[in-house]
Amino acid sequence: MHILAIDTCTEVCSVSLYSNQGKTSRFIKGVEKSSGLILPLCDEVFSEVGITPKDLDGIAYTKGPGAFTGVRMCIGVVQGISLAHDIPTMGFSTLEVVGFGAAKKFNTDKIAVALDARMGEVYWGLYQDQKLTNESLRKPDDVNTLGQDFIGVGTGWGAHEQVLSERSGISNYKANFYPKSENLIDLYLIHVNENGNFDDKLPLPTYLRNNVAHKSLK
Amino acid sequence: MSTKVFITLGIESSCDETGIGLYSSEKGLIAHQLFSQVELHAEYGGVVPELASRDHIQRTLPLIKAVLSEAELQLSDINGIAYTAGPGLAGALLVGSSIAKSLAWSLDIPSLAVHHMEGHLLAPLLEETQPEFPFVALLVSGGHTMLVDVKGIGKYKILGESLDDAVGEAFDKTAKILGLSYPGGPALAALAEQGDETRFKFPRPMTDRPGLDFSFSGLKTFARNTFAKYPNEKANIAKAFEVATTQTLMIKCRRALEQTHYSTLIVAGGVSANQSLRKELNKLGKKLAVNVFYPRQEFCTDNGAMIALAGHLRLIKGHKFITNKITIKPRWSLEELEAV
Repeated sequence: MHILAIDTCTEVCSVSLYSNQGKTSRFIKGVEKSSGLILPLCDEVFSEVGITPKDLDGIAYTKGPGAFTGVRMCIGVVQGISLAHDIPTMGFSTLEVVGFGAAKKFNTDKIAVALDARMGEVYWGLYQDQKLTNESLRKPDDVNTLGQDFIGVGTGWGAHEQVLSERSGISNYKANFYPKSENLIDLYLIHVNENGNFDDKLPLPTYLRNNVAHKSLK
Repeated sequence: MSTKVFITLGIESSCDETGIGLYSSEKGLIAHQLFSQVELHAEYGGVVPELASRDHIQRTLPLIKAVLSEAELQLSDINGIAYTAGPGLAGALLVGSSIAKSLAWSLDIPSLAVHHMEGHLLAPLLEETQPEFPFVALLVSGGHTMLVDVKGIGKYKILGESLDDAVGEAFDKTAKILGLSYPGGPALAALAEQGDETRFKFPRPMTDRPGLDFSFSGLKTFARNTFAKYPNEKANIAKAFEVATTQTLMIKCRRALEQTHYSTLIVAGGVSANQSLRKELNKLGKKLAVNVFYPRQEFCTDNGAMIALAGHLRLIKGHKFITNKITIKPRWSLEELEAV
């Protein structure tokens, strides 16, 4: 089975190719624009594994939330690659990918994900019992009250450290925690194992922030 | 299918229209489809870039499938992909470019960045009767107004352009002043049909001095002031505005033709659909013994057919991207293009 995983939704550009050799991955942090990186990184992993896109059985991707252009780039690239060879796709929330990765890394099932959404807000979600809940765009002073048994992860914890910590009651948090395409592979395989094959047909973004224009007064 | 046939898929997403076209070296344009976002932006009174991008990402893939189905072709029949890389709205361009580049990468076929205005400029070549090089091109749209000396594909010299508002932009803004609904340009032209040409005389900007540059923002202000004084004469103001813009464009075209000594004029871009402008330029053509060419009405506005054609003419000559970087050029001069 060959699965490609792609994420460009945040300040990370991440690609992973799953094959009988395991996961062949690239992860670049602090990316201002993924446009120059994403396909060359795909090239690298495909050439390392020795297969071509037509050999793919599925594509896993982050569908947002995140930076609008980064989210659309991820979706656009997945649309293009999947269309070429009619490859099934499966999208996951950026918050779920971060939450899943944190739950695995810290060996806990209580994760509060906060990604910096700019404009004084965070993309917020709780990852508990292998499920994402409460996915929303919030002011940092409007998050769930959770307590010390939760771990906070994501860039929102760096941008709004004090308010998030006070409101949520979480004192253990890691701002330096990003989505990883390797975790997308795991999520894809778990999903297929539990629910069988799946195809979301037309990959589309999740923005959460939808109030992006003011209507004309006339 | 013969291996000599080359089929190009064109993708346009530079502003508020998603356009897909298929151009074949054997049959010419074989299919094209367009989705216009006009209704989406109407309630905002203008194009909202973020909403435009959000719409493009939903429309592009289904439109590609629809065009292939219309042409009864498979993706494996496509030999190259051309996409609009600029000029235009960065977010909107990025949607088309990310899909185009990744599709080409996955199919292992060449891709090429197309200049949106080169697409417009070559659109008359989609017609049966085609202009021959060299010619003068008047490109008039909501984002551009320019006169170009066209010696061949990629051999462009800008003779003059607008120093402020594009002519289409001036139409839309004046329409807004008159309280007409978005998009105002066509609404203003329709209203002008009921106007009296002799009632008001608006200035013909920058025609009293040499040169081929344009300026339309003063004309818009002139319309605003006239409307403030005569609020019940919308049709007459619309007429005076339309006459002033079309005559200004005609005067500059005449100068460009006299300066270059070319005997062909092509007119393209959204405003080239304006019937008064066509009438004025046809009259000029007759007077100067110059052949005037326009794209058919549906190819005056943004479309995928012209991008497929412009890309095709370069791809068949071996022009292509050598990197897999997803490239856009929101600001890009026609004069930077490589000659074919």
